[in-house]
This record gives sequence, C-alpha cells and structure tokens, in this order.
Amino acid sequence: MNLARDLLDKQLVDRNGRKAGKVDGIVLKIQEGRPRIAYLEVGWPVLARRLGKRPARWSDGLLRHWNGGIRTRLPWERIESVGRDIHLDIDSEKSTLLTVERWLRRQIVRRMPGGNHGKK
Amino acid sequence: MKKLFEIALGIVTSVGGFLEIGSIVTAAQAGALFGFQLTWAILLGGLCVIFLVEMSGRFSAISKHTIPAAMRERFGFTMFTIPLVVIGVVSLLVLGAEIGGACVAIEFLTGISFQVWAIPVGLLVWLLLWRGTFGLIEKGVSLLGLVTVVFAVGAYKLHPSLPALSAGMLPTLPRHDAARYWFIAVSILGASISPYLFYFYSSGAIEDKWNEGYLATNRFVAALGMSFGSFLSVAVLVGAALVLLPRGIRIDHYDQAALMLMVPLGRWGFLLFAAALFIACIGAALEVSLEIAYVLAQGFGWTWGEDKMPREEARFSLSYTVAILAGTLLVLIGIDPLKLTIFSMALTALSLPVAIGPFLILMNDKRYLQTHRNGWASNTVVVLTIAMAFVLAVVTIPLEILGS
Repeated sequence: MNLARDLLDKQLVDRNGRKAGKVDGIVLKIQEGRPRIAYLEVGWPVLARRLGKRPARWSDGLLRHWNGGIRTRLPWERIESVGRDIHLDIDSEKSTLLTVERWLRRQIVRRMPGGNHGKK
Repeated sequence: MKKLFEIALGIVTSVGGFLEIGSIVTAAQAGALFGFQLTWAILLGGLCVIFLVEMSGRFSAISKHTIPAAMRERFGFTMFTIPLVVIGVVSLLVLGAEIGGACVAIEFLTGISFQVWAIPVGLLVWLLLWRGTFGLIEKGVSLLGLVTVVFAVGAYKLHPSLPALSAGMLPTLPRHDAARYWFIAVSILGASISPYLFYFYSSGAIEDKWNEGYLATNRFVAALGMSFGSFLSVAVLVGAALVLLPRGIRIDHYDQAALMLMVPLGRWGFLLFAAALFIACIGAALEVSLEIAYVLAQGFGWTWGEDKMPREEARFSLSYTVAILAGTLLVLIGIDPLKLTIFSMALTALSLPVAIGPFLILMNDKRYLQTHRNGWASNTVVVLTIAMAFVLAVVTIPLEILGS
C-alpha cells in the first residue's frame, strides 16, 4: 500500500456511515524489523505539525489547554476497509473524533434559534 | 421524464446563479464606456465557464468526490492550504459585494442608505441557509432569478444594431483608455469564471447523487445554463451601450445603471432593475456562503449538506454563519459596494491559476476519472483563458489602483 496515496488525507467514515474527518497523520512502528502502521492520527494539532514548527508548537500549547494534550488516535485494527474512503469500526459520536463538533453543537448551535429543532 | 425535469431545473438554476452583481456591474461598465467592443470578453468568459461547469459535474459524477476533498487527497494538506486560503479570501470579498448589492437594491426602493440594510440582508441570507433545504434554495432562487430576463427584454426594446453587436464579438483594440479597457475585460473574466460557481455545482452533483448516467444531462445543463447566463450579461452590456454611452454616463453610482432599464421600460424599469439586482445578489450570496462552507467542510472531512440540520453538522453550519457575518461586516463598515464588486471581480481573475490549476490537474488524473478524463478542447480553452486572465490581471490591476 502506498501510504501517502491510499491513506493520507482520505475521508474517514464511521460504522454508521457518518463522515468523521480525514486521515491527518499516520504513525508507524517497527515490528519484527519491518515498519507497520500503528495508528492513524486525526485532528487539527496533527495538521498544524504538517505545516511547520511554529504552528506545531502553537497548536500543542492550545491542545494542552483544551484537553490536556490528548490526541485522537485510531488503532490500525479498527480500520475495516480502505477504498474510496477509509471505513472505521467505530461510532464516531462516542469517540474523540467529534470532540470539537460536539462542543460547538452544545455551546453554540443549541443556543441559536432553530438550532435544537426537529425537522427542517 | 424525471431527467427532463431535472435538466430544465438545472438550466434555470445555472441562470439564476450566473447573473449576479459582478456580471451586471462589469457588463454595464463595459457598455457604458466602450459600447459593444467588449462583448467578446463576456463570450470568452462564458465559453470557459461552460467547460469548467461541465468538468466539475463530470468530476463529481464519476469520481464521487467533491473538488476540495479530491484536491486535498491528491495534493496533500499542506499544498491544499494555498488554494484554500486564496479561495476563502476572494470568496469573502465577493460575498461582501453580493450582500452590498442586495442592500443597494433596497436603497433604490426606499431611499435609505445601503449600510442600514446590511444586518437585515445578512440575517435573511443566514436564515435561508439555517432553516432551508438545498432543494428549496436551489429551486426558489432559480425561479425568482428569472426576473433577470428583464435585461434581455430591455435590450430588445432598444433595437441594437446586430451587425454592430456582432463586430463586438471579435476582440478589437480600444481606441481610447486602453488601461481601462483591459481592466474591465479582466473584471468581466473574473465575474464570469467565478470558482464558486463550479465548486457549488460539484457539491450539488454529489448531494443529488449523480453517476455516470448523468453525464449527458450534465453537458446539457452546463452548456445551456451558462449560455443563457452569458446571453443575459450581453443584454446588460447592450442596455448600457445604448442608454448610458450616448449620455456620457460613466457608472460611478448604481442608480445611474438603472437608467438602462428605465429608458426602454419606463417606470417599471426602475422597479424591475431593483428587483433583479436584489434577487440575483441574494441568490449569489447564498451560493458563495455555501461554497465557503463546502470548501472548509470537504477539505477537513466534516459532515456537510444543505438537507441536514445545523446541529448535525455544527462545523459546516457555523462556517457559513461566520462567512455571512464577515460579508455583512464589510458592507456595514461602509465600503462602497460598487468598488468592492469591481475589485473582487478583478481579484478573482488574478486568483484563477491557484483556484483552478489543481482542479485541471485532477481532471486529467486517471485515478479519479478513468476513461472520462478531459479532452484536448477542455484543457486548451481553460488553460488559455485562465492564462490570459491572469496576465491581464497582473498588468492592469496595479495600473487601475494607481490611476484611481
């Protein structure tokens, strides 16, 4: 598998078909002398690191302030399939994948007119 | 039968989205200053956008990807930030111009300064997105957008000389004010080839779940819709050429432009001008706000879609909310909508290589399009037009800034 072409920056889809971000980073480990995928990383701190040292330092500080520095990591075992999208065997609503989404939903959208509504 | 209806709707949608403040202002300026001479610029821009819209529909139908998502996948996040930022900034300026245009239309009808209307108009645009569905917005705006046909009616009643108009369809060198001529040509290209048009179109194709069976429909909609839009732009140019040019009116204020409909249509012309301006601008404001949200959501992998509830897609909904806030702010602080429009159109032309270059590469990528990659005609027309627009923009924008 060509990691950059087939994995990196691809859309993640959870077990309920919901979009859950993109593969922002890949972490490898050495097992039996060969490189293997340990886990996929998702989140804005990971993206910041790809942009350069200063954005990385800045976002690491922000992340520590936000949740103590916990990054979202997806173990390779939880990946169901790799195709047009990467399918996960995870419910994204119950994982850290949607932390920012849930926070915005609670703190901002719910408080706006019609934010809490039934049908459109 | 359903396909036929969809085609008709698609064409109507394209028309509604095509004629907005940028096209109206640049075409009117062209007519008021240079008569029929710049008709070729509108036609060239129209041709290029027909190819681009068809490409974006084909891309989404075959690859099942939206353009921003594919751009990030193919080029990596770091490279993707460049078109992301460029498109974001230019789109925000265009959004400000559209909201400003709608406010000016209300100023026509009420006499109250456009700045006062910034917040109500911004709120209207936001509410339509927050509470509306994609289908409702698309269809509603398109049907209302048909009022812009009034420009064609007005132009017809002025009896333009067809030989003279045809002469303008070929590029000619200006006899006076060359810098101005080429700057307006650039603005026309920027107004016609607005990236938001086909980013929006590609998202619509995904939301409507297009597949290979829609390729013919796509070609039809792109060609007819955009052609009709260009036709209306030419009608605006004709109206300006026959009403404003002989009176020596250079459009420094919007109300001068309204004359082009008042001469052929009397008092109704004024009302219809304001209505057409308002509807066209609201429609474009909706599309541009959504486009900004689409590019962010699709680039970062968030849930997106006009048919979902805001709380199901908090990041997407808040993206267009913040965009609309920013656009409203631009109008609120009193930036002249006319200047903002012209500037943002020229800036669009300048940004075309960054906004469209990556897309063009994708259109020739076997991994996304297999056997449906671009032919030589699509590639050639788009590359040449964008190159020309960019070079002209680089030369004329500094001259225009220095001159004013």
